[in-house]
Amino acid sequence: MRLSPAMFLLPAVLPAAVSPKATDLGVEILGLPLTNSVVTTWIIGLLIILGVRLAVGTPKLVPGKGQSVVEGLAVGLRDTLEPIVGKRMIGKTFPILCGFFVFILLMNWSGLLPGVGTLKFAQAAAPGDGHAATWIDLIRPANSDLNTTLALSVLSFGFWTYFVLRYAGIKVLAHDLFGNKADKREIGLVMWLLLSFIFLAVGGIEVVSILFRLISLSFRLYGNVFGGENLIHALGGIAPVVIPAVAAMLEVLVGLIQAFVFTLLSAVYIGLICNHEGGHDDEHAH
Amino acid sequence: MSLLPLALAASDSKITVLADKFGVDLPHFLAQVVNFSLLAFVLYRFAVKPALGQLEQRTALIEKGLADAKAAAEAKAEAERRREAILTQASQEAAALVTQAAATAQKTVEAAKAAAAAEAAEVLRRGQAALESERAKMLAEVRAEVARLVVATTAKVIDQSLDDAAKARVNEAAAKALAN
Repeated sequence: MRLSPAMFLLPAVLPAAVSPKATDLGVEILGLPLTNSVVTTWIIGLLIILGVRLAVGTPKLVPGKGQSVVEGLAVGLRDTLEPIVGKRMIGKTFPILCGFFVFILLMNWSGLLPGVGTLKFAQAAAPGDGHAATWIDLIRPANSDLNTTLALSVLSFGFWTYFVLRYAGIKVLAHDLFGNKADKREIGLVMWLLLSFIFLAVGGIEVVSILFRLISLSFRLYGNVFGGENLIHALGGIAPVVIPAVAAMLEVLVGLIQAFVFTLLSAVYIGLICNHEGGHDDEHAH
Repeated sequence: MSLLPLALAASDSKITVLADKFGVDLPHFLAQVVNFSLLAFVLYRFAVKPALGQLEQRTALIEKGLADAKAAAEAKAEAERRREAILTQASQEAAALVTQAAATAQKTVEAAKAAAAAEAAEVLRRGQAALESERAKMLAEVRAEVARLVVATTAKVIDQSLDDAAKARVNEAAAKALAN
């Protein structure tokens, strides 16, 4: 269907459940049918870039307020991630991990902006259907679209594969997954051989769990954001004021936690294979 | 027909249903991959990286400043120690110079005193000598005058004119008498 200004309105109360999938707006750009989540991604992405660029400006040795804030956040995030991925890997992984955190956090919080989830357009029913027109969200938080969270998890998995193969190597990865970590001199050859089979089987399970990260990362984020949207909509149907604000405050926390969870898990997955310096550091520290 | 293709077909069908239920499709999936990649790149390349670069540069400058300040403090302490040593040495040298100058001045004063005393004695001696000479000269003149008066008186008394030879003898005799 095509959009027209006459279709827009701000409905007072629309307690209908949020659709689990993004809605096609009926507009195509370069052959890509635009959905409300893609439009939201573009708008929020543009606002993020403009906002950060305006805050930082031309970075100076004596920073302004905006640059200080961006520096503080970036350093805080880097200092949080450095013990996980290790000093050797933080410089290489920080760009992508920082991207995950900022993107997920602000896209999550974008769901709380006025207009997201309330600005709707009418979609006419099919001829002869007999049903009334339905109201479709014009804009939708990017992370409440499984395409977005799946894209993030696939990128996370792709970067994990790259970092592990590039900086740890296939040998380290294979030993980490399937290798027998027992000491042959302590337990004897027979027991060691028996354990080898167990480690091999555990490695198989580990491979499945690694592949399953694609599902767990994407559905965890999608589920939380989509669930939050539904919660706010449902509460808005019960009481249009006050109660949705409480739910929105909860969503602020959920958005932050989910951004941290996704970023930290991506860092942990990389650090588990690539960071072998933490243990030594700890030993030296003690 | 093998069971595996059937299982795969069933699985494929379930995945398709699931994807359709959640609206997952390749174009939108790829669009979001591109969207995120673009945002992450721009954000890091044009905001986070330059800001962190400035931060690291500032940290390096602060560390250098602190090291310089520490070096300056050490140099200042060293200069203070050297100044104290130089002052002590200068004080000792000044005291020695003052002592030496006092001794030299004492010597000079004493030498000047001695020279002044010697000169005063010489002046006194010369004065006495001049005085003595003047006295002798005056005495000689007095004698000569007295002798001339004696002669003149004698001549008047004897009412006799004396020739020059007689006058000379009388003068001589009178002078001898006065001299004795």
